Amino acid sequence: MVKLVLLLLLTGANSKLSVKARDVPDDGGGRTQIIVKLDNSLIGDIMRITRIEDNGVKKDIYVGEVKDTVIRLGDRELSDTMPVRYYVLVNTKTGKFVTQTVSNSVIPKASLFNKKKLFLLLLAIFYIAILLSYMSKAQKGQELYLRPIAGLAEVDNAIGRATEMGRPILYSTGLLGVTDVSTIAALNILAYITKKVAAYETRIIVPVYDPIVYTVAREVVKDAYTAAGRPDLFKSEDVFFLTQRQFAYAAGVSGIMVREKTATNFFMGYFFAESLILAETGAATGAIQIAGTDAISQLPFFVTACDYTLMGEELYAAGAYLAKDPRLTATIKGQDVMKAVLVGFLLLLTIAAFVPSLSAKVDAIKPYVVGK
Amino acid sequence: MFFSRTLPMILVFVMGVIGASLYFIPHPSAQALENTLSQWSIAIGSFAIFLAITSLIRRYITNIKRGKEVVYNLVALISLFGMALLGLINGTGPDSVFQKIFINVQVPLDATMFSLLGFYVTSAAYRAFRARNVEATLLLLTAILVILGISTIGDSQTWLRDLQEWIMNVPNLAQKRGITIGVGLGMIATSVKIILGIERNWMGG
Amino acid sequence: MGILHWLFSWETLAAFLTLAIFSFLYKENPVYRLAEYLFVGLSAGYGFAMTYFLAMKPNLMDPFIIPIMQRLHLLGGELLPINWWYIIPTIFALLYLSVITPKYSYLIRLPFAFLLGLGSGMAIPRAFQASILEQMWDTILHSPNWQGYAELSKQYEWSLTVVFISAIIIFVSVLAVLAYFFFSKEHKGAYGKFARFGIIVLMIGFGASFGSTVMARYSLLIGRLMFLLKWLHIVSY
Repeated sequence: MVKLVLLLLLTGANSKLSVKARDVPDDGGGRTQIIVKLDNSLIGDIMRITRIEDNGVKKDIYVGEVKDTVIRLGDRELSDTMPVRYYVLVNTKTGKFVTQTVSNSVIPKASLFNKKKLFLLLLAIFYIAILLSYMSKAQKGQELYLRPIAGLAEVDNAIGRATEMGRPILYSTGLLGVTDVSTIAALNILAYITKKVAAYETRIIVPVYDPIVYTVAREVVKDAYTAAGRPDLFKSEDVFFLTQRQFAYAAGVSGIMVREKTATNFFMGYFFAESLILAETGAATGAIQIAGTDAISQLPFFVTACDYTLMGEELYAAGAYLAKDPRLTATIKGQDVMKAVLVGFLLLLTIAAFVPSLSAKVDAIKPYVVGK
Repeated sequence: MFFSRTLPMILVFVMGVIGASLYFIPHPSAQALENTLSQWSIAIGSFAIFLAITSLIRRYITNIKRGKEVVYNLVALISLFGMALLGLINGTGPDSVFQKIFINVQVPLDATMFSLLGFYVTSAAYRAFRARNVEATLLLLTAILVILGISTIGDSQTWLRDLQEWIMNVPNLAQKRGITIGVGLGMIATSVKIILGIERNWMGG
Repeated sequence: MGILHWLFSWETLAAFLTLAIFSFLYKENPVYRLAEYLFVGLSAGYGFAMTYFLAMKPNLMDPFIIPIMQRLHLLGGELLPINWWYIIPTIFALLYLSVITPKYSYLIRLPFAFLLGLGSGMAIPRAFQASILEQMWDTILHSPNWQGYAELSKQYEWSLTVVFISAIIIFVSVLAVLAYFFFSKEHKGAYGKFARFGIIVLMIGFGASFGSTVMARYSLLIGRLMFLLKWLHIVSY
């Protein structure tokens, strides 16, 4: 084979047939792209492409009739360190030799950085910088205006109502795990509400769906009672894991709402179909209900069955709004600035997409903007 | 102080930076690290079930001791232990008693609880009808149009079917997109605050 | 024999539990409560066994804890190899138990930090890509003769005019929804009106989602009622 390759290299360019191999960029390695260009006269002949690895291992990766003058092929599952070449042989249908050639050698390298994701990385750094700059502004005492959010203004009233009625509050952190950011947002709101509850000496019941979330929720509630100066009020049996089965959880929480006659129900975090079971049961008991979720498909049900609903981004803003910690609220300002930047970016791209000469270029940059 | 605050904050930062970086590196070693870390996460997380189950058992026992709903709490306690032990000792294979109980008791309970939504969508719709404000009315009208479009009426009245498809693919899509973009920004901001140790409710504020 | 067989069958138990759950619609009652506690208890026990076999055994017990116990002669059986890397998740997992001792309970923050850090870190670039950039990109308004609109027109069997007008509606609606979620400015004046349009978009979108689930929920309910009729041998399929 080595002899053949040398021979082919010595014979130089083939006017009827050429083949180029290249490493697929920005990938995990092991993939190449092969471009074969054939003369019109070869159409109808049979082409065979053989992969030749540097260690001499050969494998046919394509055999078929030539139907076009340019053929693109992908080869995969190669070693990411071993150089490969591709040998192309064209015969007539009856098996008579027509022409042959061999490609350049290529190493299907693995990349350390995906260049398609560079823009995304820069944008993320830019966003984090905005968030940090607003935090430092707030720390210097600069006042930042934030408009009120209806559901959040009612949180204190809802806790107060439960206190007046002498009935407990129910808090659900949703059905996703602790690594899901909506659950983290729900736990932040739980911390605030528990501090209020501790001050009012009201009871809060927290039935949790996920075992890990339970362990975090328990610490959050315990610490919040301690922070409010009332560690004595923390009842470990009121923060508990219920079950990790969707509808069993719905049945259990429904039962608790009815039997404990909770005056206020909070449903914060990510929910699935059980959202309406919880919200309708709670509504039937006459409780004040405040929901917050980024589960878009469940928002309509919370909106109809709850008194207030924090929609999408409002769930994430809620923790900061409630905590009234200027450093945290400043990040909401940062979110708004980023939103404005993104809208500007969208308008810019739209203008470009409208200009006929730029339109194709806008399509072409998509992988480099979106990152895939 | 070091173990209670500093070390958790360093760890959350390091894990956060690793978690974010992996996304940008296509190299197989990064993929291998990502797989290892997610297996470790499952391993670490799985241990929480002990604390979680203990909390539930403690709640049942506390209730029984206080004489509150004794029979029900006993039923729950027995079924919990029974099911767990059956699974652990007898195995969870497809022909096991464990799976038999699962299929014949738990699955029908799941299905029935899920089917309650048939009633609840109706009562929720009625609630929207009674609210009599612009928002609720819009929601209800759109819902009715979509229901009519999906239903057999849409087979003959094709304009209804077309309208329903348009609503799903245009205003519904726009609403989802608008919310998703905002959610993305909020999610990132929350994550950044966690990683940088600015949001610390999980470690006592 | 027949009737007894029927009475003491899994179907009868399932039917009883089905009726017990349905009874909740009237009011909370002892029968529902029994079904609820059974449901929660069984599912929690089920979850415990499944967590052991699916998560803990392959990721913690088999690679590390069991082989260590075997070498300490605490467990018998065929000797499993030790994967020393798993000492790391094992330590983190064991730190969960620190809550038993009030003095060292803060050590539970270490497994939290591991999980929260990793989850948050992974969320950042992914949210950027899937929730922000892809959504923004698909909202870009192109000139009416853009190839993409022709493809959409074919896909939905809509005329090009409808496709283009829809794209404009989507573009404006997305901006309006974003305006609604802008927290720094009060909803007043022209901007307030635009944000108000955002709420209208949200409500129409919610209505659409609501409407599209209603039929599926009814068919679930019908399915359950059919099960009861089948159990009573009123229908046979």
